[in-house]
Amino acid sequence: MFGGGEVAYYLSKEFIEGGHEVLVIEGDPKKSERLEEALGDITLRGNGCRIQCLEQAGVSRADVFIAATDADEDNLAACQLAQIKYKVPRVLSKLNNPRNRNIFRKLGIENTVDVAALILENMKAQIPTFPLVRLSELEGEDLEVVQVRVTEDSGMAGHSLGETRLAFLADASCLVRSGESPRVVDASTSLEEGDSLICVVAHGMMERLEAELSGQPD
Amino acid sequence: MNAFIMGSGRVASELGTLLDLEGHKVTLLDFELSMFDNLPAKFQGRTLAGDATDEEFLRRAGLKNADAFIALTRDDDRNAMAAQIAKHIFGVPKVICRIYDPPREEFYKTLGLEAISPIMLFARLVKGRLED
Repeated sequence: MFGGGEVAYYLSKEFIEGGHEVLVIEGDPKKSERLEEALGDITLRGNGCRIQCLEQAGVSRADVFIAATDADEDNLAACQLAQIKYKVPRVLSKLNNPRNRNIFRKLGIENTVDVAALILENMKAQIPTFPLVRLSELEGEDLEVVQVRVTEDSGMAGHSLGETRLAFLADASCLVRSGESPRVVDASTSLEEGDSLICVVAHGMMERLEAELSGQPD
Repeated sequence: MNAFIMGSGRVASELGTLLDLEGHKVTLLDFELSMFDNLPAKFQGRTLAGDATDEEFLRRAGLKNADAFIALTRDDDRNAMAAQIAKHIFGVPKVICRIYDPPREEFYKTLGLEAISPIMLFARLVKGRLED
């Protein structure tokens, strides 16, 4: 791991508890001391964008490399080195600026975690007026798991899913209704206000879904 | 030539001024306009304040019409990121970046970037003089 902040602390803890070997590269002595006090001898003082440091860390033996600093340019540089020069099989990066997601993808770093988006979606999940919440992304599959809420203004309540503009969700969705057990939907499932659909949708469908849900009801 | 230079230090200022005096269109980019206070008075080009690793800022700056992008800040990581954005996202035909750290100069060359390490450049230059 490169960057010894909060993310590194909690991740390291879980990795160690899972019996894995962890090394955290951190330049700030205060941060690495704090990590060592809590988790033992797991840090290397240095800069994970530097080849000398990565060599010393033995990064070519790593199964996973995670860049989690607060600077996206450092995360990018370190991930590119880990992936291309040291052939680490799984490389992922924390993203501080959501706009960099596309840049990282185009520069070969496919797996990123957008911190701002995570917070945003978590907040939206707790505010019932938002009709669409992104719950998770299925890595490597180009699929997303989303929650679609049947709200008062959605125009969907009182209709069967097949009659709505979101009929295409009938293929891979699960209905969650308060007080009932979740069940798999089909086109004939009738919707009520307050229902949620948990759906697996292709990444390419997200724009359509967003447009349908933000548009005025028929 | 329409040249974009990232940085406001001495090399960036000198290069910008040289290109400007030759009649090229020059844009210098750095975080704050005050960073350009030490530019030579004869520099007539454009200066813009913003983050040159931010795609949106570069788009607004008109990078897609650039013929060249040169990254000359003191930060290798920012230089490398901005240069790759210029090359792979905006398709700028000529992209050069300064990478101080010699092993990383090599690495970025393998990625197809035109990277120059001033340390290696000077070392080779001096060595060449010694051998003359």
